[in-house]
Amino acid sequence: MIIQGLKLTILGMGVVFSFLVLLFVLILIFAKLLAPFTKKELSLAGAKKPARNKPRQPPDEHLKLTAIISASIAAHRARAGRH
Amino acid sequence: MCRKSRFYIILCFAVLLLLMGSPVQAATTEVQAVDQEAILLPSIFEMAANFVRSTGLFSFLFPETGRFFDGIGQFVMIGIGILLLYLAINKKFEPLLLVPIGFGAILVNTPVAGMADPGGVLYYIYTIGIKTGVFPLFIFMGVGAMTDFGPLLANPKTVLLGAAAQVGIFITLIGALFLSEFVPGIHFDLFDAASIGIIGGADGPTAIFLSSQLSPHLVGPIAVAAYSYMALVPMIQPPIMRALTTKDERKIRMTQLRPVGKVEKIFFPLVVLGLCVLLLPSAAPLIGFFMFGNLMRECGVVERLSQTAQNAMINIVTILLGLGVGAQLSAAQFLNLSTLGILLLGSIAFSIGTASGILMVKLMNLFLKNKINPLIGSAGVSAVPMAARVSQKLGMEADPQNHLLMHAMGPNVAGVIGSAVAAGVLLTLKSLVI
Repeated sequence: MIIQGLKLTILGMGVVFSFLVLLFVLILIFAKLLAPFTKKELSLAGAKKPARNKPRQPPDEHLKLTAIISASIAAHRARAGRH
Repeated sequence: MCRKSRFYIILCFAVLLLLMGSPVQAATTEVQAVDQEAILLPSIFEMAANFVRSTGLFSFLFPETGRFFDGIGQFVMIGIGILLLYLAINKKFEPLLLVPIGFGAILVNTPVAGMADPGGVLYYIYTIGIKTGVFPLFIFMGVGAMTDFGPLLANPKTVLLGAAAQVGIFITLIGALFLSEFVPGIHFDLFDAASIGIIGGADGPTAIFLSSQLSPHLVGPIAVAAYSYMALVPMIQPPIMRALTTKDERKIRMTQLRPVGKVEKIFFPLVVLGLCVLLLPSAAPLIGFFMFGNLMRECGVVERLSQTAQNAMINIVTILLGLGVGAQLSAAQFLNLSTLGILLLGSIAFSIGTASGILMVKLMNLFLKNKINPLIGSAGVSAVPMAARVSQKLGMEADPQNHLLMHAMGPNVAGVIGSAVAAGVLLTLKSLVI
């Protein structure tokens, strides 16, 4: 009986592995085949994003502004502490 | 005033009683006269005795079969039903399934009612939905509609981890045959062993589907074992994962997943189905329904159907599936040595599946430039999404900045496909046996 189990194990693991290895290969092939579609989709999604981002200030200015605001908050707190 | 009204009420009752009494007397005299026109009732004492005999308490103590243990067995099974309810409600063990299963277990062990006998409601639920394998497939469709294969498509290597974790299924199968060979009182044939092994697939619907097809008498214990261990994944897996990995391995960071396009996601279910049609048609019911659900989700034109499959429909079927599985928890089928064997083997199946997933990652890492964190290997034993969450948790433990959840979802959903394929192979047993 245990021999039957071993036979089944070898067959079963063989089938599971070959099925999923084939699936792995097929996923790679389809990713290659469909790459143009994916690229197009992503560029469409990407094109929208920068449009929204444009009006924002560049990061350099952003940092300066943060520094100024935090400095003024600190100054305010220091003054409040004195009272 | 008050006393007067009380008097009237009592008077009214007395009159009512008299009125009710007199027709009974009239009827009995009439019956004697007209003979067979009315229904005859036995004497009041006999009626009372009959009533006592039809109470649950009496049936527990003096069961119809005459064997004392049958009655006590039913009583114990009701206790087990309550235990399942406790685990579901208080410990949050897979409550969506264990609440209906636990309640079904109580109902089916209610003496005299015979709800699981032909004609009873649980009998019909079981016969229509579980014996035929229909309910688990509907659930699988809903699971497909809930599954996002994106992480798997972004990192297809992880498919192999889903394959490795299925080793647990087959080792357990051998273990079951081993037990039945060497432990007196346990008898599993090859079909039973295959059904027990599939617990290691850590996938409830697959386990119920396969056992309903191969060994229907074990559906109850197998479903209970599968769902209990799935709930216990956060306790079973971490010690094994820690034991098999070094701290440095657990800290491995994985590169961010590439974005996956919609067209790829639409093609994927069709590719898997095509592979199944060509290689393993016996897995077509499971894989077919799984991929059908997923196509409905990804194609984007049947949003209503997809929503129904992953909400209303899966909920309705879960209720019925749970009750139907509970209906299989009768004393005769559950209270025996085989159930203990199944529970023991189930835990072994989960542990081996976890370990083999991790070891597979280590093997793959020998050849890969971009190393994989071995913690995601354990997610190969389906149990979506619990196993992936365990990987995430252990990853965060080693390195709080390391987020493994999305990476672990890859092997996690591959595990579902893997266990469906394994079930497909085991289903061919039916035609293989000479």
